[in-house]
Amino acid sequence: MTDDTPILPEPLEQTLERTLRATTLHGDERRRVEGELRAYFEDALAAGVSVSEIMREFGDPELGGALIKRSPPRRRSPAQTSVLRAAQIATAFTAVLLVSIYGATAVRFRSFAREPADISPWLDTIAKVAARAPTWRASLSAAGPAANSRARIHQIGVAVGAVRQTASLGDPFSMLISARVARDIVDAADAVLRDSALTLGDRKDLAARLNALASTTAHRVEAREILEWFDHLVERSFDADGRLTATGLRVAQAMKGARQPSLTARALEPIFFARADDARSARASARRLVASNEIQVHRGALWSTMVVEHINTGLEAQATVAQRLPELIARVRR
Amino acid sequence: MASPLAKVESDLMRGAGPTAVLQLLARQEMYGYELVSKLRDETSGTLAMGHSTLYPLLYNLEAKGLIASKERVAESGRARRYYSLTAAGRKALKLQREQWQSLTGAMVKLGIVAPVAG
Repeated sequence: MTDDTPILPEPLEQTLERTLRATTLHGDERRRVEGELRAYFEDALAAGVSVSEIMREFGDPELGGALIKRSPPRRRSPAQTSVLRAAQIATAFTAVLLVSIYGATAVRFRSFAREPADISPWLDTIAKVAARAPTWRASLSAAGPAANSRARIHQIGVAVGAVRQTASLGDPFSMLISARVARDIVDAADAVLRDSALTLGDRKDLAARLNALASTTAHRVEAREILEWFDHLVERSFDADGRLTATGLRVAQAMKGARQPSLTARALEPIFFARADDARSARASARRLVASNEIQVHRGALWSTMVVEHINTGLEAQATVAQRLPELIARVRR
Repeated sequence: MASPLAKVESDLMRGAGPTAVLQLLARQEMYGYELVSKLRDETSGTLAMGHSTLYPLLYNLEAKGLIASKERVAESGRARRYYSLTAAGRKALKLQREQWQSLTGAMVKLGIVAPVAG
């Protein structure tokens, strides 16, 4: 109702209000119904009909409102209504189709399957390592150029401890992850050595930590070991028909640091792994890619891409550390 | 037999009401109260309907594209929403007229309705 709308006698205003409330309409639709009912009352009053007679003819406001609610005024033209209806049908059809595809892939990839008990401890380990590695690496960059050398040497010490602990787990994945952290340590140590104000004590301290790192990284993982490990993973990750297994999914999750995949992750897995590769092509890809040091497996083979990416990045980091660490240790002793 | 002035039961009204409204709008465009008045006066109260029947009926016919509405100022100086028949409404009314004629013819044959003299 606007300010210039004529006020109806109180009983009719109340009847109007009760009717509108019963329609449960809002916005333009409500305004339109209010305008029409108000006009209806005004016309009846102008025709000399008494308020009581209008109300008697009007009947039960709640019933009237409910009937209008069932057939509200439409703001859309019949053509617009048809288009909207077609769009609704198309949306519903698409939703059903997507749910069906999702359901089929969820069953195929066993998204909600129970985790195989025999590999649980191993998955725990790789998930723990994958989850912690970014924190160790971040702590090194957090103590970056602005920090004083003593603080950076302390962070290097913490990271060396993490590398030793991770590498001691013994499996290739842990060793490759620890190689990536070791490479960040080398970068951080290089920055510390550029500090002209470095004291003799700081140098000794840094040398001790770099020596500890050198003893840990002395054993390098060979491509042959990696491929054997990869084959073992593939064996567990694909079934006889070449389809990804629940283990394969858990391995992929663990490599991302997720020990208990969220409901969202489980819901999206079937989409991510819609073309999860198969055992034979995964093996072939790994051999080709480890040899060429690329990380892009053929399009859509997400599982292989992910695992091989870990392998190649780790091997690259390992080579960098082997090359730069002796030179750094020589510099720190000067 | 029911009195000609008796009000039509709601089931029958549901069938007759839309046709009656389309028929009135075929003559000229009208607003809500005008339609109610004409239905009451021209049928001696037989097809009288209140707002709770009229407005849902109008909204339904409009949604089906049989009538269209437009708000404008009436002779009284007040803003009113006028309803008019669309081309689809004229076609629907023609069809409904034929159906009512054949229904009435059947009722006459059964002796429910007296034949119109002449």
